[in-house]
Amino acid sequence: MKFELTDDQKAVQEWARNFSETIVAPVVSKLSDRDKLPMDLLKKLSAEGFMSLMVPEAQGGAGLDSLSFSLVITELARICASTSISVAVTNMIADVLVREGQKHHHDKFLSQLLSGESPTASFCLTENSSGSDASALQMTAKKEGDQYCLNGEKIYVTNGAFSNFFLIMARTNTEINGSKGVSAFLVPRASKGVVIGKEEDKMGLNASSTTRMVFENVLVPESDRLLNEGEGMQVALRALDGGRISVASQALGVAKRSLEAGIEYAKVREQFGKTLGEFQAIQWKIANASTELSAAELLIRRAAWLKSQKLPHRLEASMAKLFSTEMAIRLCDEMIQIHGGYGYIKDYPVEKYYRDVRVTSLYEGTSEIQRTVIAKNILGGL
Amino acid sequence: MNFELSDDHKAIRQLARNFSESDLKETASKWDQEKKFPHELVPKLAELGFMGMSIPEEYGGSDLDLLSCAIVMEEVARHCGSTALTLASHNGLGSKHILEFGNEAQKKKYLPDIAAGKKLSAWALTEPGSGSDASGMKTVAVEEKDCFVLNGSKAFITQGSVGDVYLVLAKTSPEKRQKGVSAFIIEKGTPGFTPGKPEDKLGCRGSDTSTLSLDNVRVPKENLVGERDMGFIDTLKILDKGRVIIGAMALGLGRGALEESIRYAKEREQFGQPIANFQAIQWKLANMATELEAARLLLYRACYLHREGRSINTEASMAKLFASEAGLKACDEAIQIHGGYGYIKDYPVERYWRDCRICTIGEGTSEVQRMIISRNILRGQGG
Repeated sequence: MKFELTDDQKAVQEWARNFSETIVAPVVSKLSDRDKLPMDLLKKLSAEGFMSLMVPEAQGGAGLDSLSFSLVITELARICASTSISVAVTNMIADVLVREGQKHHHDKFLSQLLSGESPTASFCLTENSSGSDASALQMTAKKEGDQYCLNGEKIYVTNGAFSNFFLIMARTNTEINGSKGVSAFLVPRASKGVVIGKEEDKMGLNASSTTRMVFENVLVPESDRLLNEGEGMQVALRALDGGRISVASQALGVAKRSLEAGIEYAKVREQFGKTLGEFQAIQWKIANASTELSAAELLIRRAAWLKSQKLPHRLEASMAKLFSTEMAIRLCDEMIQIHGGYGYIKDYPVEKYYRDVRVTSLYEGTSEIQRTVIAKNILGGL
Repeated sequence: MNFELSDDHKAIRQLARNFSESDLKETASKWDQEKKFPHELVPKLAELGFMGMSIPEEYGGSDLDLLSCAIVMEEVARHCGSTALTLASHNGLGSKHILEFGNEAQKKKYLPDIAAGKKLSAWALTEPGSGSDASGMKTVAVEEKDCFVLNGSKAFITQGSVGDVYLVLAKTSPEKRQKGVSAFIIEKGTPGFTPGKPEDKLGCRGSDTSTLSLDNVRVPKENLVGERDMGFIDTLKILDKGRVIIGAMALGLGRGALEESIRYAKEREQFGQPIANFQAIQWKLANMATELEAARLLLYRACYLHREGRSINTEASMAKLFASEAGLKACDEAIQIHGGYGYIKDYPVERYWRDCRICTIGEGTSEVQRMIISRNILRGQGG
């Protein structure tokens, strides 16, 4: 047992914190609720290596382990949740390319992430009527000679407005219901028939891009399919496994910043002749928040450590995701409470933290899906 | 970072697990219902090294680190909260105070018998009128030529009526409040020193708890432990570790509740299928398992930092607060999963809840833990 980051991990954390505070913070602090992350910032992140964190060094990435990756996402989210999700999703695609792709996929797509030509990448899985039950998706990819013809609609596409290419799950076999008929494709934005739909108007994460996408008779060469026909859901599920640790890390980062704001406020705000921090009612909130935040951080670090040791981590990742996101939502709500009426006003940042973090128990597997995964694991184990 | 237990820690876990299965599982319910302290268990506990867990080998102990102690506690509590509480008090308080602050003569005189299970140790701080606020202590020790004379009374003393060696805290300089308290060793049978009758408790009924009364008890000067007036300050230094131990006890009981619930949920059928198939039950199990894992990590982190020689004031309180509340919640949910059977003593889960109920009270209530945590956080220390 050793509950200490390695020197390398500490250095990565420091690097990410420094970049977040000095480069990201000044840019995002000027954005209104209607503005998106500027391309210029995404390109800087890309140039600095944030978009290919776990890509091996030999392939041009930063070669970080899962725990270091988690630390980076937390540091980014502490300053800007929108930035952290853009980075997290792009890295998820980079990892898919490394893990599942062949050399020609690397040359054609991964290279765009490494060079910054495509500052981000996107994952297209969810559809209007398939969310948690992802393998019920209906988008089709019909084989025509040595290419496929893609038709359908996707929703909740993170980075939709920024990405030059998309990883898409579509049904190659309409005879089979469920996951076995699904395949994975890489599709350039410039392909004929790709239509970027409307930006969703979200509760939070306003600077990140979340779009609908329409695919109308989009032709994709067979060589841009990942793995074999019918193996698309495996690609997606392996990607989501890592995504859970990453969303948990994002929730942790927002929660850390929110708690910092709550503590700062409790120290200066006076009522009844004392600072708020002198009242047990407020002390209790801070004690609960700090304790649960520590617990979440440990669950995340354990899951990430297991992943970097190539040990089984599905149960642990689900526990980390479930606990951390629910903890973060609760914590951000309590920090609004500590701020009283000011917590409800946009002059203070805590209402934004709540809005930004609220999505974390929804995407990359809802809390309900995590509980299903956990229950299946422990019920199977006895 | 490395989240794997060492081979030594795995070995001690296996040892404690085997003992808990073979010696506690079957009889724990009987001790509970008969409200009986299991004296017959003590030699076996001593043989395993569990009566002198943190006592160095030179005094006959097994010299375990805090993580090992926590692991033993979890495994013992898995089947018997009472035995866990006995071990917590015997190892973590009475003997610990002598070990950490006693002089060589005191250690040589008492620790070997304590580690061998020949003498049970008890530790007496709490009084009828002073619980969380120890500065309200009324027991006094007046120095005379060759001894201290103690008068007062103590309450909620674990091993109070079965102890052989007592570590008693009393005010030597009442005007100095917390900085005027000293610690004394008092042996069973000392004139004027009388245990009250064992308390009738909600849970942990197989552990012994009683009051103590001190009526002109003459304690030789060589029985003063540590420096005069420093007894309470010394106490604060051992409480952090005691908190981890009680947290580990709650974790063990919570794990017991979870394991019994998993077993029951797979067997029990309603509406034509095992209740484990229902999301209402799955949700409870998932929450219990997740929170217990988080509790274990908080406890292990505190143990790790302690071994590194760092202060664990904040981390021990966090671990104790979270583990005791998560453990108790798990025990309560286990009763719910068992339905009416959960309320009946044929199943162990109601006992787990009763045993676990002390864990948010003893060794600093949840409220005291929150005071410590928020104070440290607001001052910018720890976390």
